[in-house]
Amino acid sequence: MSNPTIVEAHNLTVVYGRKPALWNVDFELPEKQVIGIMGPNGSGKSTLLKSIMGVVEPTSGFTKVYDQELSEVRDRVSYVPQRQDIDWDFPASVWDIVSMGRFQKRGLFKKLTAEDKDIITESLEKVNMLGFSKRQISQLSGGQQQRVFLARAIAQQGDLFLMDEPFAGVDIATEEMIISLLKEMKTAGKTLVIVHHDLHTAQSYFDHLVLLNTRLVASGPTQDVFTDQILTDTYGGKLTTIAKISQELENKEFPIRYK
Amino acid sequence: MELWEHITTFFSAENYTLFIVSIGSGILCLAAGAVGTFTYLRKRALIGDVISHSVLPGIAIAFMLTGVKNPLYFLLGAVVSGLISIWIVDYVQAKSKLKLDTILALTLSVFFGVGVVLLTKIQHGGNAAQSGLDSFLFGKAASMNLLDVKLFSIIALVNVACIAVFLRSFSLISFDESYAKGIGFNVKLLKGFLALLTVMTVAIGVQAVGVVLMAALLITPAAGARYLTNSIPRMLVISGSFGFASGLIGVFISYSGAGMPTGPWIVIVLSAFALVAILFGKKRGVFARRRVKKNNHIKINNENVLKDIYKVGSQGTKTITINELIKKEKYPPKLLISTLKRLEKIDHVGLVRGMIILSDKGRLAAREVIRKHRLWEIYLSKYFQLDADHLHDDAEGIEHVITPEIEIELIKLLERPEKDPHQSEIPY
Amino acid sequence: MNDFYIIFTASLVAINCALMGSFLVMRRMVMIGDAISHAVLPGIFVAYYVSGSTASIPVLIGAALSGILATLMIEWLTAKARLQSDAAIGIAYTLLFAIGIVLISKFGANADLDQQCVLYGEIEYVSLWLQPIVGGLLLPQQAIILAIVCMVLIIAIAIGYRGLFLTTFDPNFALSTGVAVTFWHYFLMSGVSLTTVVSFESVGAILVIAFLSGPPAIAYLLTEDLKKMLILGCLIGISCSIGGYYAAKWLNVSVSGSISTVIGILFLITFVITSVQKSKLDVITS
Ligand SMILES: Nc1ncnc2c1ncn2[C@@H]1O[C@H](COP(=O)(O)OP(=O)(O)OP(=O)(O)O)[C@@H](O)[C@H]1O
Ligand SMILES: [Mg+2]
Repeated sequence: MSNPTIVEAHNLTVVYGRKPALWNVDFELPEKQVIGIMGPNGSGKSTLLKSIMGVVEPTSGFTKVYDQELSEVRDRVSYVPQRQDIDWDFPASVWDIVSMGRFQKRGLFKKLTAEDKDIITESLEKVNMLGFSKRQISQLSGGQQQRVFLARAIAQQGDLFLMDEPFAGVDIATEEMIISLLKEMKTAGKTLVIVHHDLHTAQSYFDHLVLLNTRLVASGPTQDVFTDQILTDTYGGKLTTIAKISQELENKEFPIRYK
Repeated sequence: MELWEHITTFFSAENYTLFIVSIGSGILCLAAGAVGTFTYLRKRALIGDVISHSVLPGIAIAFMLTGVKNPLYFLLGAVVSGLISIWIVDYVQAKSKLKLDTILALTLSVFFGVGVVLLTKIQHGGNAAQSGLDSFLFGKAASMNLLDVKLFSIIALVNVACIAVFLRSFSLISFDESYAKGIGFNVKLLKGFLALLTVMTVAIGVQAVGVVLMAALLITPAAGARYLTNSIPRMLVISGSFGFASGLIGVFISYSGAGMPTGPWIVIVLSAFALVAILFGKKRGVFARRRVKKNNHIKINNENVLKDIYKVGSQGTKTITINELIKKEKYPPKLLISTLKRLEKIDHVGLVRGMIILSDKGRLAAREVIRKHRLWEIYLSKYFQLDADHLHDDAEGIEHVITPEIEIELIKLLERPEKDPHQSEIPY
Repeated sequence: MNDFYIIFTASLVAINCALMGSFLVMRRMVMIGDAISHAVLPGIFVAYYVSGSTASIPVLIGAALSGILATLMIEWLTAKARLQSDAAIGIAYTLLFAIGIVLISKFGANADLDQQCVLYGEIEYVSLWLQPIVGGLLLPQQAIILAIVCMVLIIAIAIGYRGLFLTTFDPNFALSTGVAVTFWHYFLMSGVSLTTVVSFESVGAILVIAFLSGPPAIAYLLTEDLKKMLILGCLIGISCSIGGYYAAKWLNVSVSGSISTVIGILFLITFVITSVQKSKLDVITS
């Protein structure tokens, strides 16, 4: 059983300054699955999601979603940024944040309709946060913040969800709640791409795995990819050469490609 | 000639005081340049700005309490209010959700506002001695007297001496605070001491440039110096010298154009110094980096052409003509010719009547590039998931970047392989 | 009537600055506002000098040009010369400000602009330039311009609120939904520049910074709703203007300095009270 491709990266290279964060990455992700993206800190996981979502521009190569440019299908894709990148002291309520999920459909200038409000309520209900809708976001726990972000993504009503570390700083009960919600979403035909750190749970959470270390170490069904060899390659010291070359590129101002 | 006359009068004996004043300003700026090196390295440029504005109320209060324009009292007041401002910034940052930039802007403007209130109070109070207090806004070195200059110079020199003595510790906390803590340095004390030196320097520096532009005295020379050297001691010396020279020149200009405030001129001169360093710095300067990029391209061209010549050679047709190489259409003819000429100059190839002959040196160099290329292909295919048809392209770029050390590491990691993924031999 | 003119003008500056400052505070860009408010000086001066009048259109253009120059300098220093950003800001604005001061001390006599007024402003004298408006009502020229800008800002925020809110809170998410984050950045920065320039003339550089940072910071400590923060910021700014003006009159000191001082005192009180409350709350919850 192999599902059709939903996300495709071709020769994807992202360079910050001169230092590559992603380098010649090529893969295809199958539809209607829970897909894990794993790799050590700084291996380019967030950068990968950001370039799929058009948040950073690739230096070379491209990504496609549903075999189309992102701009054509943007309303079908939801993005959950890394929680640490956000200022949670921002003066806003849970409701304010989740309603952002409707801005795309409604535009930045039109009022939200009753339908939008129903969707927001529903999304909050799904993550068990309806009781908190008036709560200021500065008063949320880590797990609650994560759930608010999830609700915002659900409110976008996309088919593809890209989530950056939704389990970071979350207790076990919340993690279980979130994962069962995600599996439910998968059954409903959604595709979930999740940046994850915990190797112990990887096998039970994900159908498909992408292992990154600046370059693509492996991408494939979890049972094929989750091997000792590949994991050691991803997380072990074998790849320091990549880091050294990146450093050289940066220090000597070398172009990453000479064409 | 007028200028020359100007300069001679400036340094003549009748102008002894002016001469002293300019030397004094130079020393103030020297101290600021030295202390500022650490402000810059610790990325505290904007905090320097806050301190500079915050000394104003201290100076005004000192005057109000004593009623005299005694530099020692001013200094004391300035140091106290400067330290209070640093403490407030740190405290509010630790205890509230406000972000640093808001706290900096607020502290800076409120302290300055208080200072202005006090200054206007003094002015309207009709104290005969008040005249000249507003020179603290933009600096008027010429209003310093000999005693001031002596005092400030002593403090500046003490500052510089402290920096010399604590050079290692200060460098360490600028470089990596948590590491310094880890190996048992009393980071808190050192930071406090550095803050004290900074505030003292600011307190005397405002005499020359005024509070508004004092931040430039700390940051600009240090930033310029950073483009000229990588070593902190040298940076200190260069930054200090920039400061000294600017102080001198600034006073000179403001003396020449009557009524000109000193501060702005010192800052303009400093900025000019810094700009020159930023543009022409030997390693980090804008032009130097442009040169490096150009050299990279030259290196890449050299190695690519060499490789092509070598490959033709090892395929049997021992030599190749320039025309044949042009016909391959890999390089624009002009570029190819200039590259070949360069290669001839470094004895990598010989050019005889349109024929290209690889020298032994050239052969070695070509083999080295090919070896790096193939090693990289093996490395990529072994550890990464990459389509086979992407391997070559990737290695084409990286072969020029692999240093001898990285090459040794690769050979070790891959256990000195014989063949690359396309079954070509690796030339050791 | 003079009291009213001054307070009215100061309050308008306070409102404009609170509206823009609230977003700057949340975006961690207040020091950029600081840099702009200093860097516009040479442009303002040249415009004064060339046009020979305080007419606001040329001055606005001059200020805008030197504001852009400052931005370009900072960008060149960080991107091309790879200077760290704090130092780039520091160097660029001190240099432009220094050039402005030199120009003023050289040619200032012809352009009725002096060094001090750059810092303190001339709000004490706003009533010297009265302008009749509808119904024979006289208002200071400055205040009329400020009121127009205020209207523009309120309309802009009312229309653009959602865009500003979204791109301030979570620019990455905004980008992912196709929102032009850069547009909103420049949208805000245009407002900030406009505010800075027109306020600069009446209250001087320092009070502009105090107004940009102080009232929004106080409001931020008191509320957790961006809309309330905007309104509260305006009210706090107005109160500080009134309090500061009368304090200045009573003590016979600079009005700008006095308003800054009042802002500082109000901040201190708010900070202490909210900290005490917070620590009490922490005790209860733990
Ligand atoms: N905006 C940026 N500017 C410069 N460098 C960046 C930027 N964002 C990321 N990087 C660098 O790019 C590399 C990859 O970053 P990225 O955030 O994608 O890693 P990650 O795998 O998500 O790490 P983590 O597990 O810590 O979240 C890192 O070395 C990081 O320092
Ligand atoms: Mg990440």
